[in-house]
Amino acid sequence: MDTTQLLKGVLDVAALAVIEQEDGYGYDVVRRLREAGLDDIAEASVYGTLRRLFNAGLLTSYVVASDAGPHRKYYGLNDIGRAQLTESRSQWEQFVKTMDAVLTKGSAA
Amino acid sequence: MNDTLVLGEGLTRDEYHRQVASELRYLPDAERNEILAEVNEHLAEVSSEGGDLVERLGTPQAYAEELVTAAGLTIGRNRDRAWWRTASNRIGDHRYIRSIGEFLPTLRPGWWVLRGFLALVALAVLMNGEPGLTWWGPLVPLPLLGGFDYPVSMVLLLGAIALSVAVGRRVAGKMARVVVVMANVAILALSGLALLAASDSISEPSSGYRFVPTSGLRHNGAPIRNIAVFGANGKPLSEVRLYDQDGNPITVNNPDVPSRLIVEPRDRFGVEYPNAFPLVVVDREGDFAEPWRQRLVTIPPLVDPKGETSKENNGTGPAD
Repeated sequence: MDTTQLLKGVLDVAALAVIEQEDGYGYDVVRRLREAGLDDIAEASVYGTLRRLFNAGLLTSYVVASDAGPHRKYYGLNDIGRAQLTESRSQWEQFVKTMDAVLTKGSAA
Repeated sequence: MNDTLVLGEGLTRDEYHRQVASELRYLPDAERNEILAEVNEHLAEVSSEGGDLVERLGTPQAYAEELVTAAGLTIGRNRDRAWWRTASNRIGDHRYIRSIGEFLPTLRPGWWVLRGFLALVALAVLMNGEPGLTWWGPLVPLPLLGGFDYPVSMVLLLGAIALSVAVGRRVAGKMARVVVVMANVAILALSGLALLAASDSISEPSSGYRFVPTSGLRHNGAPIRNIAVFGANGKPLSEVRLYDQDGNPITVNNPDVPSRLIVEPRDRFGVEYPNAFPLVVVDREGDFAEPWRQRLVTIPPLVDPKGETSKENNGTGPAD
């Protein structure tokens, strides 16, 4: 099953969760999502998602100089972002429960 | 700085960045610049790991599309529209604009009623060539359709308003909406032009209000087209030049008579005197076109026609 489509729906909550652990810049978020096992992630869409969450007022941002190259734009959660993450988490848990039930019933029949 | 660094067979970092930038050119400047700064950061990270940019990230076009889609700034097929949507969203996000946006829908029923009225005006224009507005009571202007009388027009007006409100409440679907918008534009254009043109010809309302024109020489509200002048002896005078209290020449508007049919007297230098009365109006054969000149050839003289009695005696009658 192609997980790229599945990922698109949950990239928001995944990015918020990663940033909740620790503030991060775009590529940092990409790397941490990869390390967590989301290999198929499209890098540009991570940057786009961060941009959208920031525009929606869920993230704070600040720029940090880097020795290696251009400045890095770090993102952190603000209160709205944290509230959104809490809500998304419970929605996700509910969704997983529902899907589990659907899939288990399907295999039992 | 990496302009010369060729990554595999693909694009250099700068080339890649430039092509992404060109894909995003329809975004508003501020948004675009912030995104491109991060793209620059991203490309620096990726190229520091080595490998081909296109192989790793896809073409710059695909990259831009992916980024903008995820950011909710969809370029889609019509880039101009995406740009417009972003711009209009930004305007729409403004505090005051948003409050107007929330307020406007409450005016919608009023617009439906007005549209019903304007639709009838537009229909009257199509049928009569003019709105033919009159008054229904002191408050309601009523367009009279050619051939229909007063009560029928009232019923038509109420019907048009009812229809407009019904349409307003039920419009659903994209096509229906497009049709309604087109109809609205047509109604507004037709009725607007007609009302503008007819704003000084609405007939007198029953309340007694009367539109007072501001231009042209008038007598009791009716336009004066010509002035007949008679001397004390009762004989018509010609080429009498009239001036007002400030020395400005007095002229009349003659919208019904083509100017070539009015012979304006000239002095010996060829200067025309449009304030010389009576105006000489001739038809194409050069004959006088105004019958009053034949009818009003003489009026009672102020002085004794014999010309011997002086003016002082006039009114008291002959002394002997």
